[in-house]
Amino acid sequence: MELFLTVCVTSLTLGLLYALFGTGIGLVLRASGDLNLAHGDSLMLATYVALGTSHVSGLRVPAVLTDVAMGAVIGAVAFLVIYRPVAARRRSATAGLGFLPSLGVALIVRNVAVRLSPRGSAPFPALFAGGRAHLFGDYRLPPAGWWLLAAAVLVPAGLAVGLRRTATGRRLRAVADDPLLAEATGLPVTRTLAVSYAVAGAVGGLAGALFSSFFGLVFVSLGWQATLKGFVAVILGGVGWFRGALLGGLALGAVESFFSAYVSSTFKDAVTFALLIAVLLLVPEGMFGRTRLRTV
Amino acid sequence: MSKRHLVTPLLALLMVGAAACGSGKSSTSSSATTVAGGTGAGAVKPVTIALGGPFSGSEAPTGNQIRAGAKLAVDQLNAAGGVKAGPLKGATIALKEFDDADDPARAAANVRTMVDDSSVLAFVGSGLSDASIAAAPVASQGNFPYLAAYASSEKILSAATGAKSVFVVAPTFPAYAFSVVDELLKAGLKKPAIIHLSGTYGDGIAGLAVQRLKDKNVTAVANESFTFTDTQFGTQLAKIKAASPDSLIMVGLADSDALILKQADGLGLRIPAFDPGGITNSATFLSDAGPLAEGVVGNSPTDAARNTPAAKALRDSYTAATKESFVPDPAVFAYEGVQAVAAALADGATSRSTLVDHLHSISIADTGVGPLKFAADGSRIGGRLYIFKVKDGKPVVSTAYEQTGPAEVKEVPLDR
Repeated sequence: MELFLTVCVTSLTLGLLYALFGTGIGLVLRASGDLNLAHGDSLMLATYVALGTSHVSGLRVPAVLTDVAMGAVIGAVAFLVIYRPVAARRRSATAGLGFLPSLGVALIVRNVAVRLSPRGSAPFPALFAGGRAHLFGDYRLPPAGWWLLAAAVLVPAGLAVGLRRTATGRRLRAVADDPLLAEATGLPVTRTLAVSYAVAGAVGGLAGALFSSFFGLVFVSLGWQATLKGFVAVILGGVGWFRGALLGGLALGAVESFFSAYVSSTFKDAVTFALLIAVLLLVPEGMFGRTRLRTV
Repeated sequence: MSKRHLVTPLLALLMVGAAACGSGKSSTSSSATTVAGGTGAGAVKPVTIALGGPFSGSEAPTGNQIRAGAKLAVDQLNAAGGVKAGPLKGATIALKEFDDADDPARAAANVRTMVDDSSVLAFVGSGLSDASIAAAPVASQGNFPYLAAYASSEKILSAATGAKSVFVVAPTFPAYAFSVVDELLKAGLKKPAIIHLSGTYGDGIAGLAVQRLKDKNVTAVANESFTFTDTQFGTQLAKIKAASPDSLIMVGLADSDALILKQADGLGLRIPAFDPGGITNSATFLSDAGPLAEGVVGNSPTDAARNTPAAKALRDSYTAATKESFVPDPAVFAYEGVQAVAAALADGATSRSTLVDHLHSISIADTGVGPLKFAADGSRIGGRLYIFKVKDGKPVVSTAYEQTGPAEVKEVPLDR
């Protein structure tokens, strides 16, 4: 019974982390149609900066805020300085290569991080209040566990409300639906997309702080993991709505954990990607999604 | 989003995934740069050794240590007058650098370039085992002297298909696995569980640990694996806990081993932990694991308190050259690899083929970490593995094992 309960909790916590990673990726994908491959590496770098803030200040809240702010700044700056200018110069021959600038940013950030953190990892303090909660048997939930649950539910919900109820949210939806029409009607497309990258980066920063507090470590390879798992969560759940990332993340966490526990940990990733391919073939709008096809 | 829209992101993910394992993976070109050498003013032409390793990408720190160790050995040899004896007496040694970015394809292509470059006499280096496993057959086909420094898999030698020109300077995986398993059994533990990284390193060491346990009539009660990107080991550890083990053998990397200990503690799985992979004797692990590192038993090819003249000289000169307080393993083995080539030259080698023969006959009493000679299969005889237990945040060495054959170890006294 303890094994089953442990797998359930592991599945849930992993799924919530994947959902938070996917929320930022899904937001940018929905707004701009681009996969931001630098999302994970940006949140990794922001989390290292937060670690430095924690060391210098000795305070938890400023460190979390730094992580969120750095994530937002990296996202917005990368969009305004690199992605947008490159997109403006894109020719039809390279139309399918819109992901390349963010791939470049991901690799640059990763190489910078390797130089800054030659060990590749560093202990990370518990930035969120509350100790290890005793759940059952000998099992104790790691620090930040409850915060993770709250964030993974409230952040997508808040974003969904923001998209519907705020002027920026409505502009973002208009740009996402038809950027040319949005521009023709005078909407500030560049500024609106920059906001989407900033918000996605901020969510990523929060996810980085939660992830590192939860595991007690921050490491360079977190960036790649966050991008990969977040993307899979978005595709499984469905692009275009925030519940998709949450449900996709939970599904991914459940598949990984239960397959690993009751079948084989060796083939866990193979099964995950087999599921991803099956979803792309059979329900491309995602297991829980509604598709919005755009004519191009 | 349509299916068509998702194809490009998927391609992109594949590309960034490849990049995650080391930059420059798609390139098979080699950049060769002479990074050190002597004056070359004498009558004898300088000898060029190819220095290979991951000098870029995520494993660049390992490559930098390999470079530092090899350069130290070259500088010392040249300062002492170059090759000590033999037909090439007085020749200085130069290093020609080849970056493989920890990419097996690139490592193999680099060795192909070296084989075709008559100015290169031998190879020393390579970071992780996969790169050397890919490169070894190319070297053996060209009868090119290839000394894998730091890479420790015995599969490097089997990949060379019986050729004589491939050597592994470090103790091989069997020595790593057997020494710690023997310590575990000495402690009276009879129900070990294993959690290991998938891949050449993790599967290799874990498989050898299982084999050693079986040879001693002990069965691992659980054997779980994880992948390089995993951070959550809750399910594997829960299964291990359900098997009621009395000890845990971890075969991971510094950060994953630290996470395993943290998560095992969260599950109430508090049993003696053993690391047969030589990973936990690192500042990264000790820092990442914090108080949970206490009591972990591991092994290391070096003993910081070893008190022989060669050991002290190596420590002092490395510290003077790099400002580092200790000599990391990749630097040690690159240092020894260059020493081995120099000893074979002093023994009379003048060409690649004679160098291979002489490498098989050299015997260095003490390189700084122990005696060095090679068995017929190219594995090292005399390589030491020091058993330590973490106490007050530091590894405290208690005993040593010596590799006495391709797959055998024996306990030996400490050199103190």
